[in-house]
Amino acid sequence: MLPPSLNDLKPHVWRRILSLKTEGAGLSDVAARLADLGFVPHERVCVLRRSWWKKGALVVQVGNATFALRHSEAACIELAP
Amino acid sequence: MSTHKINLSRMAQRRVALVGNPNSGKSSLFNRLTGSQQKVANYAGVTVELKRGLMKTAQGKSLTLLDLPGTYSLNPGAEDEAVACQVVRGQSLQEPAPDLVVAVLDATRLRRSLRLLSSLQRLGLPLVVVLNRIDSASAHGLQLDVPRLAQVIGLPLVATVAVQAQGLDEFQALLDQAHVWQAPSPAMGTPAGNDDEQAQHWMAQAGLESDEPMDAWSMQLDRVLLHPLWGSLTLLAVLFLIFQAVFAGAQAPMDAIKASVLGVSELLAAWLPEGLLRSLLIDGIVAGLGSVLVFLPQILILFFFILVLEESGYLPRAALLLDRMMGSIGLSGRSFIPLLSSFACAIPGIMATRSIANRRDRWVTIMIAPLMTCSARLPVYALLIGAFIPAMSVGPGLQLQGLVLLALYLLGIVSAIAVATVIKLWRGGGPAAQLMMELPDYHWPRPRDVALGLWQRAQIFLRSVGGIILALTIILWLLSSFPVAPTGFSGTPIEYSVAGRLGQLLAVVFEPIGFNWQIAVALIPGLAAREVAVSALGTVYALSHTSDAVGAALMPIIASEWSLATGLSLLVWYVFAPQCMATLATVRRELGGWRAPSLMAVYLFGMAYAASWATYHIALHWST
Repeated sequence: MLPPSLNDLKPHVWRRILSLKTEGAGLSDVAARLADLGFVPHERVCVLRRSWWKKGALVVQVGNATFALRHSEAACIELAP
Repeated sequence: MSTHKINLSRMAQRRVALVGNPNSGKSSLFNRLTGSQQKVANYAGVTVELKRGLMKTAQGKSLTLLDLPGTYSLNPGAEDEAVACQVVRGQSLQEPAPDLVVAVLDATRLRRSLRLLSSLQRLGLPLVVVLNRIDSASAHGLQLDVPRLAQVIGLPLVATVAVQAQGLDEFQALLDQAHVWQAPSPAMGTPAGNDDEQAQHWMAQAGLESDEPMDAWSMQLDRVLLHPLWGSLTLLAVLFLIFQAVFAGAQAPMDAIKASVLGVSELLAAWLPEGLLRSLLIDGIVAGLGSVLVFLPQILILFFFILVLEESGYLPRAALLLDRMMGSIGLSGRSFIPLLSSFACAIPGIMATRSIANRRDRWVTIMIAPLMTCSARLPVYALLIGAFIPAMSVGPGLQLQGLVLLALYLLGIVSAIAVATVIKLWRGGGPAAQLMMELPDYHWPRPRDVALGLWQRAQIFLRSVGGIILALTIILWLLSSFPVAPTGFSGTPIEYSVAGRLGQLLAVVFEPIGFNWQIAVALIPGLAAREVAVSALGTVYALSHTSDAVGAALMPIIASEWSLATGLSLLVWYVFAPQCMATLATVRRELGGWRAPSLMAVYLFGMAYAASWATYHIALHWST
């Protein structure tokens, strides 16, 4: 079974990042950028807000910084169970 | 003491670069250290700029300080980050590598700051560390043992609170010590890819928890400001306030500028004999300078709000709220700020696109920026609406003239949406636009930083855009004045000139959309700046050029000589037509090469022609 991604996480629940998904069109760029921003394995993440739209942007806290991510970007972030 | 004075003439100073994450307080540090002795070397709208300033060490030696755009790593994402990376790597063509790098760490976001520090160590440049925002860190309950952290990192380190000028003396004293200028031994630095391990290692050794506290205040505020409903309503209110301020607040200074330009023209007219010199000075140079200056109040008010919103941390939130809407036309929320700026003038808007990381997004944003109704169109709209749309009420508080103006704004926005959608379908989605945008902590904007930013923007606008508009005004004055009409020529002198003849030739092209030759002639000088077309029409209809009342005097003439269909057709023409050469010149400079500006000119002319044709024929059919 695939590990859950950030998109599967309920708001205000803390998890740790397992890894970043790099296979797929353009995903290695996205993953590299996410890692630069601080989405690195073992870092704590939490979804602060989800859009009212299903594929809308998320507001995510990583460490103690807050970022807005696209649904497709959040999908790259795999969480530790 | 004279030895403590900054020596401006000696430019061979040592060069110090400030490098840090976005929102690390780097720019405040720079402003504190250099005061007003700074220069923006490379303009790009909001935040994206390479600033250079002079600072003094404690012993009074002067140094050149570079404020590089904030970056998260040395693998650049957006073009602004690329500038920072190129400079510190010594790959920039404009800037030689610095003699010393100052890594500005944000004490409230240590892990990622240390990650950047670790990658900076690999460059092998002399490196010192500024640990900034230590006050916020302790306010958040983070216990920082600064000497221990310095010892663990093994680099000279100064703790500061840049906004309160705390720790700056110590920093200035540090730069007097010879050892900080020596390159570290090459053994320093971890291999690439291990920066995060290094950062965690440092933190563990300094006895710091990896889970840092958050700014609770910002989180509370975001509960409202990012709420899909309350947040959107707040954003609407903010945008309304900005527009209100831009258009109402700028009226008085704009009138004052117009009046002084008129005063200077009249003064020159009284002093100089009738002739070419007088015409060049009044219609060329003074008119050109006037049309540059007249936009300054609106642009400054707009930039004031953008700076305040940016400093406070709200701007990225606004972009996030609009991301869904922008996403549906294939753009991201980042395109919002450039497009907002374009309502004052497309040129600063196009320059502000440099912060858009995705090339395709940036290209599309630039392409649709001229469709946002800039303020140069307003004098033209005012003339035509005044002449052709009856001043009648169509409901309580609703004026027909006002509604038509609103419709013209909406037509521009709707067309921009349509164009972006067509590009999205035509070029395929491509790689999905990236958002990945930081939402920094909120804080009160600092008047000092806002004032400095505003002052720099005014200078940049006058220098870069002013030059283009002034040059174009003079060229078009030449075209409209030569060859000089012989005595006894029956028409107005402009008809005899190159521009006049060109206009009469073009009249054939414009005839199907209802333009007479007078309009075609006036459109040519209007290429310098859209509103010049009004005074050019005045010239064609042989009205006194320097009269402030050109618009008022023109209104009855065009109302009686043009059909309603012609008037409406010209209104619609102005929504689309690339009637501003300065915009095209800016696009060429920003995107490089003639391909983009040519494409922009062709597509905008095409749309203008088609829309005016449709308007003209529908209006003809409807009014007969």
